Amino acid sequence: MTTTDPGIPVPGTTVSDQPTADLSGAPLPTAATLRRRRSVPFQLTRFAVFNTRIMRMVTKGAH
Amino acid sequence: MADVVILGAGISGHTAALHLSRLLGRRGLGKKHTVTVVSPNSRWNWIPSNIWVGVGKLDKEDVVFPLQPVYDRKGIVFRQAKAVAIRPDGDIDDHRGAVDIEYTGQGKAGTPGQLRYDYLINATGPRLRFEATPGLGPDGHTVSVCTADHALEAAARLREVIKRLASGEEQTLVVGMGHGTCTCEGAAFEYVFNVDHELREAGVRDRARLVYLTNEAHLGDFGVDGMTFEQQGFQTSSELWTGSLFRERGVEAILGAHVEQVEEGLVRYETLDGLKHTLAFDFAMILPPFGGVPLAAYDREGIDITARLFAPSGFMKVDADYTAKPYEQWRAADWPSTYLAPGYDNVFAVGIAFAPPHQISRPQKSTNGTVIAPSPPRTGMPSGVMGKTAALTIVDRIKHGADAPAHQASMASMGAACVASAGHGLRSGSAAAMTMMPVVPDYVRYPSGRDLKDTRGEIGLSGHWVKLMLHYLFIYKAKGHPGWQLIPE
Repeated sequence: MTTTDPGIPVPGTTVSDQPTADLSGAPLPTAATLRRRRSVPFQLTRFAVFNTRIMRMVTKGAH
Repeated sequence: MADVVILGAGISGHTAALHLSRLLGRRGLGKKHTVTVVSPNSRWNWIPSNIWVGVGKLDKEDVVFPLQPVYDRKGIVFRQAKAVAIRPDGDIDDHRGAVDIEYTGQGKAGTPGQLRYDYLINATGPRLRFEATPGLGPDGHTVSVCTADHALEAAARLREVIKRLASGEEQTLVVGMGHGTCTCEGAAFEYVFNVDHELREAGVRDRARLVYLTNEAHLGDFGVDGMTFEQQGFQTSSELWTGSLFRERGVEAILGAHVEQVEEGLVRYETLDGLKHTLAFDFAMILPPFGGVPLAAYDREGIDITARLFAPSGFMKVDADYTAKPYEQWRAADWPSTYLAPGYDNVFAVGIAFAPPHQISRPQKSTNGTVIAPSPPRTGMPSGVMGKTAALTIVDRIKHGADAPAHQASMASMGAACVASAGHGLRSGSAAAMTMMPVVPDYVRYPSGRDLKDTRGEIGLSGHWVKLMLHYLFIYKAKGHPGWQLIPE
């Protein structure tokens, strides 16, 4: 299938470019955030918080 | 005396069997009731950890165990067989319902049989529909992590790719969904980041192009219409949160894609704008769409009533509102709560086996009319809750009479935790750990569809610990070891 406008392929056309999502607007984590994500003491706290959240959800939900 | 038959020994069926055994009493003197599990597989598989088998971090034996010894201990009868038909009204010989089975093991492979029941739970799980996309799957040109054996093959192929990368070759790895109507996007999300983690550990990431190819219209949709999180005083979307991880790890994302065909080293797909694309790959782990396990249904006279009991997808109809309506009119109340089949107060369908009333994510069509709409996930935590709910209803009806009210657990009122691994390692691992409450958004109760106090997401090492903890806890629970019932579904 050919297109009438070479810049705008029509539906059904096979094109070689990949329509990769533009992620340039997604925020990148800062160095401090990356450190926190790997910090064992900080993550131990998050581990406890997440498990508490799961248990709260279990008791609150229709379980 | 009541006979309970459960079709399927996955998360929902096995959970139901354990609770029924616990509450109805084990086999022996004075036992009045039977619980029978019918499953074509002799082993139980903790499927969420197949991801780690698929990157070589765990062995198959770490995620499966034989069912028979557990059922022997619990007084549950096990039939290694596949169900082929149900007769909910009985037949001319007996008014009690029956299931026609065909053995797949126990030395009787291929032999037909029939089981009578007073209560039936259909927990047959998914049929992996690789055939929906030509060339997809282990018999085609891609690998999968849907079963432990599939995951072993994926790990072996990934090792080959890593060797080629180490020798200086460049490689393209594609991970994603093999059809516009696939579900389990979370599994592909986990796998792509585990592959990224493995490539980094092997020191070859810079020569690899890693592509996430998905039917989700937006990153972070996960088949549940995405999530809204409250973080540091702001509301943010799972789309932005997920996009951040993709950008940080350098994983490309192709969204709103329906894979049409896979050839040797080439995937052909269509996107929502109607354009068709080809993507060459050296390694592809692409998941299939799910369908219901094929079961026929007959009435007392032997007339085929399959279409009355099952949706065209093969999933069993339950107490949902199946009226066709547009996305804007979808309501939380559309979702089932008792999982009872219409017209029967003793037949349930739970887990993946029940027919959802509609998707959760907004369904889309390409400009060519191709449906590109993630199917609703019904695995993991909700699946176990449904199995337990059906079991509790059955126990009440056996003990207090057939008119005892049914227990309820709608996906529109239950929460779920989704811990998406992004790399394995006690010090180097990480995961995107999310909780959502409820699973199906309820825009009448909550402006964002969910309770923001219980809908959270965070990325870090602790998520990996949670996933690892759940791996051991749920295998312990599934083995029915002491105190198993204290571990929530």
